[in-house]
Amino acid sequence: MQLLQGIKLYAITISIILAGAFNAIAQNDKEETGEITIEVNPGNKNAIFKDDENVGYKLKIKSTYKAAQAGKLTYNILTDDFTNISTNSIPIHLTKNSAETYTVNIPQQRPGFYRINFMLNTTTYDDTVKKVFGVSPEKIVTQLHRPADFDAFWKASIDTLKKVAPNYKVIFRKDLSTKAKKVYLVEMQSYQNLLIRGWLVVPTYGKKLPVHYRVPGYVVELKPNMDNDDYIAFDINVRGNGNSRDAVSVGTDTYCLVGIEDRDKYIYKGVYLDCIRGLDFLYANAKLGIDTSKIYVEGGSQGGALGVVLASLDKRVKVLTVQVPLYSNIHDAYKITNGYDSQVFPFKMFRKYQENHSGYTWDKFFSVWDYYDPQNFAPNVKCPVLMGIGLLDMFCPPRCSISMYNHLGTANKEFVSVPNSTHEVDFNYFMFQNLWIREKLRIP
Amino acid sequence: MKKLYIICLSLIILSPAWQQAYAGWPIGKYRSIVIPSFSYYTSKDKWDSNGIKVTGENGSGFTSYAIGLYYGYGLTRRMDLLVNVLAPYQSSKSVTSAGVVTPQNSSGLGDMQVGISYALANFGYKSYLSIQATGIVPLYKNTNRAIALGYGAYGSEVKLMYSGGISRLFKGYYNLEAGYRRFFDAEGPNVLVYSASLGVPVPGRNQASVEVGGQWASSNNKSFSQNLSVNRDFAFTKAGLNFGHAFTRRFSLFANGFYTLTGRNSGIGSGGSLQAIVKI
Repeated sequence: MQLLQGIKLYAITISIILAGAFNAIAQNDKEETGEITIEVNPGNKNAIFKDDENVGYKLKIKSTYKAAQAGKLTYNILTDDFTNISTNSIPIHLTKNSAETYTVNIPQQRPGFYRINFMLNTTTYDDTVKKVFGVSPEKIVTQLHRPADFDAFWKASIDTLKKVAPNYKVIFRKDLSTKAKKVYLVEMQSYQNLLIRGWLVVPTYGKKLPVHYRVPGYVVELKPNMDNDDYIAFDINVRGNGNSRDAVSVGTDTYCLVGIEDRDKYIYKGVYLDCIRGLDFLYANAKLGIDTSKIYVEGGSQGGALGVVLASLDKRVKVLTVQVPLYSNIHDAYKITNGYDSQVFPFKMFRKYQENHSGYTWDKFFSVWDYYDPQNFAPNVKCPVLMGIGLLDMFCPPRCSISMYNHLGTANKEFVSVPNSTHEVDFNYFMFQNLWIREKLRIP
Repeated sequence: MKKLYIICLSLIILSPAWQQAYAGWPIGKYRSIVIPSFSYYTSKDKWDSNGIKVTGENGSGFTSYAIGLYYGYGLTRRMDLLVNVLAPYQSSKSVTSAGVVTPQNSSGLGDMQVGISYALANFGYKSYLSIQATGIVPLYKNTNRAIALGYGAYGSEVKLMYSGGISRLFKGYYNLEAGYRRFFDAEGPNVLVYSASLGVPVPGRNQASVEVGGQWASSNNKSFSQNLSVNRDFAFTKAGLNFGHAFTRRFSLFANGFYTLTGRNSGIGSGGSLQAIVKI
């Protein structure tokens, strides 16, 4: 009996101890539950600063922890190709459930783009926020690697294209048309007598309309653009893209590698010339209501590169808008992407190819790409240009886009920087682009 | 100064019609808007100083026709130059106690408004907060006129406008305006102007909008007379409906009708306008 009572007493004691312990653990969990959010705002909304002003950031750090948080905020500044410039830190103290704003001031920097990493280390929370800012980007000067026979090469290429009979076909697609818009599938023969296709969407309201000529991103299929009420929309699928895969049909991993070892066989020779053939089509079919005096070309990523090339080679482009133009300043892109922890498009493909092909050197790579780098085409672009960049873009490092922009042969150019975007721009940019195009083409 | 008030009021009531065309949105750099318009206003009854309706004598009344021309040019992306001129024809009929009807009329160029509009801020390029500052220049003299064409005084107006689209709701738009107008005359008046409008697209390249607006004017001359011409201290609120059709991408026609809902020291009237909007 005594033994039984002893066991009961023991069990009760253990229960009380365990209950207390669980309670303490639960309490502890409750105190540790929470998070810290860091809102990073550059002093200038577009995160572009001048080289004669300090660079400023405001960080709003909010804690939902029920315990005070103490620690430090370290900010590390690097060049865009990962050379360390400075590392500093400021103490952080947050009471429970509170928010504090901290100001970070960075001395003047030379023109360029810089990475800034904000590392927060507090009692129970560690986090890093990575941002990029620009300093007087218009002052960035880069070397052109333009081959001596660059112009001759492209003149000869265009002459070759001219010898290809286009054999345009304009096929009305009733099934895709609406009351407000007529949709046409268009076909034409391009360089190497290759069949390419595109989509023409003509609003039924209006007799003669400006044209929005869109060139495609990397192996992106363009479909009829039904969003344009004030323009005729022409979307071309260059060889290997969308419905132009009759002769070239390769995936995204190899598209940019087709013929890469020979400037005359590289796929982009045909791709660039396909874009010119698209312009030929618009001029040859003005009867469809096309106002050839108001053709604006737009493209993003690879399309951005195509836009620059097209406006350079063909002055029939009246206005150009590009976003995150791929391949620009390919020499610097190579250097910058060298510092990436893991490789991304497009140098991921180029590096893989180089690794797998013995004897294929970077010199060989550049000896071909110098004929295709949009930056080398930029000086011949004379029409108004609007460019949008994402500062966190790893595919098209901002320095490369801007250096190409700085080489554009027109003073009538603007760029828009979107600080929190990667390989894209934001909705605001497109709203502005719409107004910008109307201004340049004098569309009310 | 005879018949001054109601005439000015008619001009004031008629003049905002053109403003609906662009409201607070910038016209756009290098582009122009030209708006010829024809306006009509008539009133017989009136509100007294307490806002009580006073029925006009049979045969009395006031009628105004006005031809207007508005021109706006986008100087920059934010700043527009504005010029607006009205050429009214005013007709007034008063009735004596003996029942004798006395008609009077006058016509000519009225007030010209010249100034700038500046977009202070945009919100995602969808809505705009703009300020408009204009000067009022009388293009006439009231001496030797049976009835005046306006106050005959220089003036100025500063107005804030907030305009934008309501894409999520019904792809409509709104425009809110509030401003202050001052005539540089010993008796002013000082006028607060306000309006709110809401528009919706209507299938077939049409649009319809409803507008409520008004004015509140104060002057050191507070006297009220059945003869409205001597009053400068007044208020009114009007409501209107607008309907527009786009014939081409550059040419639209708008029709507007309105009625005064409430007032003090002002006429009870209705009117309308026809505006052609030409975008260049």
